[in-house]
Amino acid sequence: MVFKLINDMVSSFQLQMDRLTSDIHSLLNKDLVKELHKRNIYTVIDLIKAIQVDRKVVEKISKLHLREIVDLNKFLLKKYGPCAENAFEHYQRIILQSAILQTGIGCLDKLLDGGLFTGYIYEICGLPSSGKTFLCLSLARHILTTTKDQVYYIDTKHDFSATAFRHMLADSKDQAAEILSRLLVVRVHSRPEFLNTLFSIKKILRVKQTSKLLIIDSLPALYFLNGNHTENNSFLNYTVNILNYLVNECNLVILVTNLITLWSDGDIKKVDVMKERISCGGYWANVPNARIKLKRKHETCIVNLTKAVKAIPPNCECELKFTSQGFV
Amino acid sequence: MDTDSSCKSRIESGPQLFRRLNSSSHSIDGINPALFPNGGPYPNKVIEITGELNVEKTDLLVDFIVKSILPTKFSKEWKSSGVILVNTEFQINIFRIIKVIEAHLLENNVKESKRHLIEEALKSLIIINCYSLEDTELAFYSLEKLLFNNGNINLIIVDNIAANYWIAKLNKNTLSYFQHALKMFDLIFNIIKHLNATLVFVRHENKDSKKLLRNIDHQIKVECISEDKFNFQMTNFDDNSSFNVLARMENNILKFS
Repeated sequence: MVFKLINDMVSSFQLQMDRLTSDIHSLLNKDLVKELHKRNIYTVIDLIKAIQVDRKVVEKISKLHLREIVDLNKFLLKKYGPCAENAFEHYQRIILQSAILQTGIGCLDKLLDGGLFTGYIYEICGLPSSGKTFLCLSLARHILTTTKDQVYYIDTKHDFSATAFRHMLADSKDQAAEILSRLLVVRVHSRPEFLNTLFSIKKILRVKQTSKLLIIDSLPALYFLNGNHTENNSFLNYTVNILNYLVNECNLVILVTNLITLWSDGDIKKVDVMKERISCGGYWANVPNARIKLKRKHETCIVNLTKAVKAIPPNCECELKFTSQGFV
Repeated sequence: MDTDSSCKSRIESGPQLFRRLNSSSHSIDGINPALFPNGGPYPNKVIEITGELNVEKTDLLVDFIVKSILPTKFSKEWKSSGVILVNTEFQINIFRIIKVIEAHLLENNVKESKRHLIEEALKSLIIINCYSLEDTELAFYSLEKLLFNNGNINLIIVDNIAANYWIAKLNKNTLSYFQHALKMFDLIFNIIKHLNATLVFVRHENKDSKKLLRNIDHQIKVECISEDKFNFQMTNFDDNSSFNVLARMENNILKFS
């Protein structure tokens, strides 16, 4: 059922964009669109494929001249295809919008070569109760109190507490309400709702960049909703595509929390030897551009950078202290 | 009657003829003597880069990109050539490419304005970001026109060929990773096979990895020895030869031994 919902929802987004209609191009009149539909050519990509594979068949169906079909093909590729951009122009475009978001935690900024870079997906992983959510809230607090930007917070575990976050703002009594108004918390209950939220954020940010930070806390809560491997990875694939769009085209920093679990090899002699495994499977493992691993140690938290945007520094570890206002 | 297939005439499209007549002066031959000791890679050749899922393969792709777009007057391995990058995994980005360009300029002790050289090099690179399976297919369909309009392009890089496998599998549950890679490879190969460009693509290794895609000329299998040391196992299918090349990452440059 969940699989069907994802499929329906994502398909509906694609169909809105790609379905062949008579208002796409003057050569595509209503009769021709009807004829194409009869031959199972429903979408723009179906038509482009048909033109590439057998141009003569399309000529016969459409009664268009070769020149007109070539022009139509060019038009469709230009309008619906991905943008082919010269790297220098691409660089000039993104350099104007890119930023480094400082975390407000000195040693973490040093570890991350200055802070969180827009255009990248960062994963915060650790065992349960290692401080992943607390680190997310600390980062959100710092961005909200030092800039006028909004922060999106997608809460999949349903444990975000506005009261607890309000306590973290004890220093900013007068502005607390205004700061809280810029923290946009979305509590999602299902995968379609989650994907829908991401599409909505994309739509908003394409109009105006009001935010540079999106926090997803946490991914495994959605990934482990069912046990079907294909459905789980398909869901992740759709998620990754939209996350990549958000970081690259909307210049966001995306923080995703992920679980580390402990596994035994099953060898009776090594029953105490446990191996750590990052959740969400092999497909996800390669997706984040940087991976920040947390380990709880009494009243502190050890941070380890296991994958970096640039190179991993020689000293890839630092220690954070829990305080009532977040990590320091 | 002569039945030798080499004597048969071949019908060429306009872009194919244009590319054949115009690309003789451009080539990325000699870009990496360690991996191609007997010359090459030559136009219309296909190189597959493979390796386990968690092994970093994009360093080699970035090496190909940077050496292609940098001006040939400073190094024999630099080719003043255009490149198209079909980006589906987003592990390669413009800042990473610039960083590697800077490292190469420093390594070769280039005295000219670095800013100008970087700008000129970036102008030779076309990036196509693909955010869906449809985007990737449409990117492949648009390659012929891009190659026709940019006569200096000799290298097409796809990272990776089997992207969006799980979305494709959603529509056809029996689809294997290999079948998906094969379908996408056939699609791009049929478009560019006579357009005088070299194709380099990544395909992650999995249980089907022993199966080979058709029409591959060279396969480079990447193995990680340590964090910054790699072994590249090169297989040439022209003469069925195979050899290993060691490399290490030093100051953002892959150094081959």
